[in-house]
Amino acid sequence: MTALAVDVKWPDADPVAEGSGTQSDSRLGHDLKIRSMVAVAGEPLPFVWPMRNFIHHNPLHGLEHLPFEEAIARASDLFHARGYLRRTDYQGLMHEGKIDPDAIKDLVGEFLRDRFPDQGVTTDWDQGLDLWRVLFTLMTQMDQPSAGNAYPSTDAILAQLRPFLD
Amino acid sequence: MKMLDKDGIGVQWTLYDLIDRLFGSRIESTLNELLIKGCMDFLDEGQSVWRMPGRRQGLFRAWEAIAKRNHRLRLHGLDVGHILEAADGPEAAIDLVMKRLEVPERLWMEYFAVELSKLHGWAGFVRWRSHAKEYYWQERNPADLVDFIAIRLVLSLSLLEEAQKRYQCPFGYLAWVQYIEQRPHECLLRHELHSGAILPDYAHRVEVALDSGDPARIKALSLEYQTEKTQREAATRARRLQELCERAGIPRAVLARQPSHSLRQMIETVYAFRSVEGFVWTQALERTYIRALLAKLAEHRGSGALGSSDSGPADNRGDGSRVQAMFCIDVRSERLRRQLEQLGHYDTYGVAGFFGIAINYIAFGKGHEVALCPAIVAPRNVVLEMPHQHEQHQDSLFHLATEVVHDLKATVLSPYITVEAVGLLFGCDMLGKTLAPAAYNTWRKQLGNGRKPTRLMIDKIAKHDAMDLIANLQDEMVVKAVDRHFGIKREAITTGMILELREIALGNAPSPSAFARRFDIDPAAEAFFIARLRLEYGLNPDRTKIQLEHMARIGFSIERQALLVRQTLTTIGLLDGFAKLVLIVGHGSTSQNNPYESALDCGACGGEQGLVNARVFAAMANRREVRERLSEEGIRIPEDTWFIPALHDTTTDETMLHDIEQLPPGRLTQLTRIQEDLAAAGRLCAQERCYELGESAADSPEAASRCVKRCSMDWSQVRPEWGLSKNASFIVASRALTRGLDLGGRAFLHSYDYRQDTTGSLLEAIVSGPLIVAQWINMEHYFSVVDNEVFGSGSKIYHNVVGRFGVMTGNVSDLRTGLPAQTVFQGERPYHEPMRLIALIEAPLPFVQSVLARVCKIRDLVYNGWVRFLVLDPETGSANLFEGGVWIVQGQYPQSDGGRATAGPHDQFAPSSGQILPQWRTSYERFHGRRHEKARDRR
Repeated sequence: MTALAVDVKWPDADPVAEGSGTQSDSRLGHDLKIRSMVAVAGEPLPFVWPMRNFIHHNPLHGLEHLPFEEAIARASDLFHARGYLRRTDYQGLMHEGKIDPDAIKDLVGEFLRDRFPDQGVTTDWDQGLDLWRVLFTLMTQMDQPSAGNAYPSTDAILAQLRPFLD
Repeated sequence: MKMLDKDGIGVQWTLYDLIDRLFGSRIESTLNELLIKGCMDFLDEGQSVWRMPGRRQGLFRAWEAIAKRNHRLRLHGLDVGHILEAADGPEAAIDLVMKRLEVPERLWMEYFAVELSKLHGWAGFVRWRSHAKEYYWQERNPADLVDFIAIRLVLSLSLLEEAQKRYQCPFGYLAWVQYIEQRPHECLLRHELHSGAILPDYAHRVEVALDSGDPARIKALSLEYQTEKTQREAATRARRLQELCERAGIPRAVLARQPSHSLRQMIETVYAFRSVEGFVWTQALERTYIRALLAKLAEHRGSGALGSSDSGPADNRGDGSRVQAMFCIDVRSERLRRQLEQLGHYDTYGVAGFFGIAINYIAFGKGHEVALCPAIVAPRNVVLEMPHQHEQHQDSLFHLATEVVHDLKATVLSPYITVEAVGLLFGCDMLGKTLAPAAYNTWRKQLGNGRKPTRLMIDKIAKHDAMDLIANLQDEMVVKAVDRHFGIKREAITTGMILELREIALGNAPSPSAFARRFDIDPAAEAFFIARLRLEYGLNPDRTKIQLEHMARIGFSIERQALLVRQTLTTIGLLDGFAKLVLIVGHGSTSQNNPYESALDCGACGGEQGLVNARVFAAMANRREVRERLSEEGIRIPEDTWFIPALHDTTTDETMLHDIEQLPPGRLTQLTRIQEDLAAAGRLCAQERCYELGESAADSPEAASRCVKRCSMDWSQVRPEWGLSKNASFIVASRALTRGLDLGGRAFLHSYDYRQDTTGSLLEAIVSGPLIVAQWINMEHYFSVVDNEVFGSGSKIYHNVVGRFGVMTGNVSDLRTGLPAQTVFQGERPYHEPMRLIALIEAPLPFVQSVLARVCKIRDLVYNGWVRFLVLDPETGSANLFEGGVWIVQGQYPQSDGGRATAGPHDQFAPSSGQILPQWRTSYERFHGRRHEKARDRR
């Protein structure tokens, strides 16, 4: 007789030994738990289809349950990505007539009204320090700020600003 | 300055991220490279010559088998063997690594999310595959995210062990928490030094202090450094603020007079604004577009520039020369529709380019199915392409199908025969496409002209025909098996013997067979032969059942065909007044050496060309039986009306009519004019597009036409067309609203007549299907332009095709997702304008609100601001924009039809006395309203 040519993994222990069923169940439960955790962790990942049939899709599809701007903030953290163009690119679009400066003015006004609901809707903010004009200028005339990680406090900035003004 | 936060471990950073950041190593880069190479080997779909062994066991098992004896890993100083020996399976490997790293289980999920985000392209492809159960390569070589992350973690553990030895740094989670708590200043300085953020004049001192290992010295330097860096950054910010105020027309003297609390308020407001500035720009872009669109519509209506079709298609019937044409909603159709209409005698309609026909398609000579429908639809029916000469067998579907199967069998061999010849031709291709693309392409087309005309099999096969067909094929198998195993030819055996052998194999008859008795085959040999028939030749009940199930999916019943045609015609409001010729125009693109070619094809056809769906729709609509059923439902298509499929090539703007050999002779006379009209409209489109492509030399329609054709054939061309770039709006309305209006190829146009939609079901179907596809397209472009490196795919120049399923940048990179830079950028400047899709719907506002309330997917997208809804209410003449949780009246627009919108069945959607439709007069009120809404939602 010839031996079987099939390589069979033979169990070392008796499968009906006491407690082995419980261990096996526990292992299965733990494996399933790991699978569930990986599945949930992968939900924000967008599907990538084979190139043969390019499917346009929303890269943030997994975050569509959030408001648009919140999803962008979350994706920026997760993927280390930008959610908007650089300021200078938007300014370029504005110079091409694609963005109406009046629309920017309206939106800046809305931001200020939202931030200072008790100060009325006048544009003459705080005795000559016209924040509406400052923010509009910030958007339309200033280039992209350089990145910094020191995050100085308002007082620290003010302390530096005073000598400039004097 | 912010100290490193221990709470970020496992949530923001992996453990090797910390070593990279604090010790200047490149573990993440090494880990990515190793994992990418593993994925490339496993996921390959036929590109590599030497295939990875053992792939059928799954990603982790196949990788594990190789990793245990992988010298490449050992060259990196890594030994994953001992980790793999201790873990049986991917879940066990994950468990083992996470426990070895002492990461608390409560953080595992977030740790996995951080790991997956490192290579989101590869992980996204593996995730897609694991959901695509019927994908051939997934069935064959299964992979999922658990496998992916298990490999990543095993490799990372090995790299961490090696790094600990090299840098004498902490190893597990708990050790790192302790390290960050006990040595915050050292961590800060290390991070500054290795992240490149350090002040240049401090770099050397920091390095020397860290090398000394003296905690007191490190702390003193850290405190000094923090003070200095904060002061310098504060000074920079102060300078910028002063410059800002000067530019804003606030002189330094005025600023100096401001009390500190005012300056504080300004500083805080400016820096708070930075977090919302991008969103403000986006909204400004959208508002500008919306205002311009509404102004354009109002002016257009006011000028009375509407075409004759505004009076309705029914009036056009009297003129036999009029032609109707159905186009895809794609933004690129807008130009061709407009140009065609301006030539005169054309009425055009827009509908999703699969024309409501979702199919799996098997092309002639191919053995696999391709889904031709939007990615959100799962097709159930199969359509086969077959040679046109089978037409004479109209009497029997059985004969037809038999011939199709034979044709398929015959052509399966052809790829193997022509491989060598194709290799030779490819050499010619390289020279021809580079030196003289236009002339070469003409010659190449002539070579391929031997392809026979085909027709599509759209009818169902009756069950008994399908069973006969399978039995016939099984009998053929028996004959081949008998010849192969016993050397007995067909002429020596009777049909009865063949049938009996087949029935024995299927378990329907007992042995021994007449065949065995006739040729003295002993019972053992006969039993062995029957077993071979079952296993090797697939003659068994299970296989037969599967074959029958496959056959049952072929074609559509007549009732189903009538239903599909009716649905599409009803959706676009084409229910009467049919012209004698109706064009069904799908679209596709032509480009060379372009892995992204399918991104330019029809999104509604799953990234394929739309011709097949157009052919199927036309074939169904031309059937007498279908028209009889439609007639019973009130849609009377005249006998002399004929539907002709066509393909609009969006790269060349040429439109080719198809299946014209099936056209009744009486209709042929009109064809020449239609073909000339399509060519003329195409040339005008090409001229428009050449301007945007920057081809200034194309100063006439003819020159433009030549130019775009050259683009389609030039294999060095990285931008054969702009595709769907600049898409901005999705207009669901009667063509009367936009006819004659130049929308610049930026609007998806879906025909819709709310008066035909008393229940809202048609609008429901549009917003839950085509609108979703358009939103995906819109968002793909949005994110590809705002961050092309992360969400787009970078420059095409550096792309390499990998595994026949994707592209990488260079030799090893994350799998590139999204659109290439050349699709969304013009030079350094963004060409696509990133804004959310503006869905403009012409229907009464309460009616639209009721539909929105029913379709939760689109409602959530609208409420969460992923799509902007703009409703033109024909009954009130108002334009209403949904913004910040409420509907805002944008103004009145002139009604086009002088009271077309009469009170009618939509009255039921009018708000009841208790229902509030908030409409804010000012943005101030709106913001308060929005806060109120948000507060209510929170409650």
